[in-house]
Amino acid sequence: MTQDKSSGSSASGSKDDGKTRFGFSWWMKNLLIAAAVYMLCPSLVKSNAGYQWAIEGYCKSNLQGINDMKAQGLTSPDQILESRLGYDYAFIEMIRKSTPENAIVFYPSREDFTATAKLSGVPFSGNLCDKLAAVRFLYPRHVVVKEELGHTSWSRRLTHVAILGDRWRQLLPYKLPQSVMISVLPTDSVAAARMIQSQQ
Amino acid sequence: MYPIGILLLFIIGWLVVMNISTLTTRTERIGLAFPIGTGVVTLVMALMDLVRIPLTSASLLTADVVIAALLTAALFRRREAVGKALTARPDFSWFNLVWLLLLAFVVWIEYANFAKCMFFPTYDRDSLAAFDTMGFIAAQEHTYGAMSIFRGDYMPGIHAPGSPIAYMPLVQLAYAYVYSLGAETSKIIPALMFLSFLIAFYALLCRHTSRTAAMAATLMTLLTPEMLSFSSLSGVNVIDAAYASTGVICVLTFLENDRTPALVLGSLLLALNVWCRAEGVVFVLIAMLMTFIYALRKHRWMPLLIAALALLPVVIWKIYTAAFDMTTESFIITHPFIDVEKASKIMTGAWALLSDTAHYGWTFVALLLAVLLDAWFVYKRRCTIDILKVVYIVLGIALYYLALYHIDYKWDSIENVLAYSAKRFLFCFVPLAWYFVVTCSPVAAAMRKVDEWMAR
Repeated sequence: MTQDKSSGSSASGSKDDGKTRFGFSWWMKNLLIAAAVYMLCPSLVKSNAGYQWAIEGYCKSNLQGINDMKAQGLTSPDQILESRLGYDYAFIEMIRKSTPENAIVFYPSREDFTATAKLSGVPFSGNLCDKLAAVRFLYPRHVVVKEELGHTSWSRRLTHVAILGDRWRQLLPYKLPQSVMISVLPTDSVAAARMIQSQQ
Repeated sequence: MYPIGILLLFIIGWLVVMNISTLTTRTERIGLAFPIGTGVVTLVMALMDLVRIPLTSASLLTADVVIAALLTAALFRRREAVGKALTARPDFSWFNLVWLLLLAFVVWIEYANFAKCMFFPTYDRDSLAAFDTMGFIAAQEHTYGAMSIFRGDYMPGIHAPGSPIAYMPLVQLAYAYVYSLGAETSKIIPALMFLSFLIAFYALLCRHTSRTAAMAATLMTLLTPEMLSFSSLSGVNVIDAAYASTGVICVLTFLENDRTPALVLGSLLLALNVWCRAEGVVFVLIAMLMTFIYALRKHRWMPLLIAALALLPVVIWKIYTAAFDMTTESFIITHPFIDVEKASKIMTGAWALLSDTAHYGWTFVALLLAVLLDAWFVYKRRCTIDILKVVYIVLGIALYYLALYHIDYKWDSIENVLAYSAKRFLFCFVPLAWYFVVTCSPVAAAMRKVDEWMAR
């Protein structure tokens, strides 16, 4: 590679003119052109919906959003993720807090999330329905999804079932009270009784 | 510990660039250090994993120190040139207020973008369902190829077509690197990649046009709405665009000034681009085609070999995936075929995207205008390099869509791909379009005169 060409070429006119650099004429020229460019910039942004969005909807609103969240004390990754991913993340957080690290958890599908949202009014979006997304937040717990039931060795060793509404209760070897709508319960009935009791 | 790891990535990248050429500018070295350091370290991580060295924080830092020591030793032989490069006095005789104003805009927009990127942990679906999760698990299990989520019994669909197991691993390994060193989120990687890209892009452009024009092009690239919004996510596309565009600019710099170090740097960046995303191979193929024509004309075959070396990551990846049984069902149609309906859908989709000013701002409109403006100069002054720049961009876009045509989308519809994913395929061409706009002969000549006049 060669050294920068443009520095040499643009410098040529000014090196021999050291006294006048940053003199009156330099300031006048530069201030005038910079002012013109400064005034043209809003027109450039307004000329295109995408640029408008980039400045107003992206830069300004994100900075504002970050300040608001900091003001509300929402600064830990879990709090921020909950603010972005809503109840879906709170549900995953609940599973993580209620299960041991060696748990093998049955995790619901997008349909389960959306059906439960309709049934219970809890605004689940199903955004975290991908198995890999669940694995990311539940690791080192193992995750099993409905397509794998009966097909993988992990699905035969479930230790916990994530319950959403009236779905997948049949995976538990005991009857669950109808009042339990959103929960994660062990497949071991003794541990489940203890857990439900403590939750009530 | 992870700030030390990040610093080591910078040092390694800086040493690599310095080893390639001590004549790179200070800004180029600063801009290229992090992307190159990250790329080189992820290549070494793959090799370590291949020979079953666990990817722990201790082994990664040791590897970093060894690489840095080797690069320093290699540089030691050229200590005089290094000393000269380090002690060169910065030249600000070109300085003007328009440049400063544009820089202020760039700094403000990038500040907002960087702050957003760092504040929010990874939450976008694509990253959670692939890159970030793969990096996170690799860090926990100290291996990438042998991690639990790549086992068919745990993830039955992992060998299906389009599965993330087939993704080139640069980004995932970079995330594994920071997670291994104790980072809470992987966002430092996309944040620093984009920041470094802006610096490198500006620095490389300064070789071909005035500094004010280079800053304006950097601002317009940064302001491109779709690219800006994706740059703060953990996806791969903007990082891919950073490697591809800087690599292509370096290759074109070689074709313009015949200096081999520019080609070596370009080839390395294109290799890392392939290591980041397999489609990046289209840029290597064009570089090979151009260096082949160069070889025929000048009877120098070494440049063709250097360009071809950018395919090395493909070989490493083939060996790696075979060693860890990371193969997937093929989704590439390898034979020539004619499907008028598919071709027509792709053409329509491509045109819709290229003319979409909401996603790319005035990028492709400006490119078209610059090509038309430049046509007269090319005709009158036989300005070959401008032709090569346009060929690189146009052929690149054509090959990208040809690749789409040859993919058998078993897991998605071509309509969906064109409407959503394909938007991100064009990121590589956004910086290249602005590069052409400000470096084509008439604009570069005019802007140099303007800068000289303003500096006086």
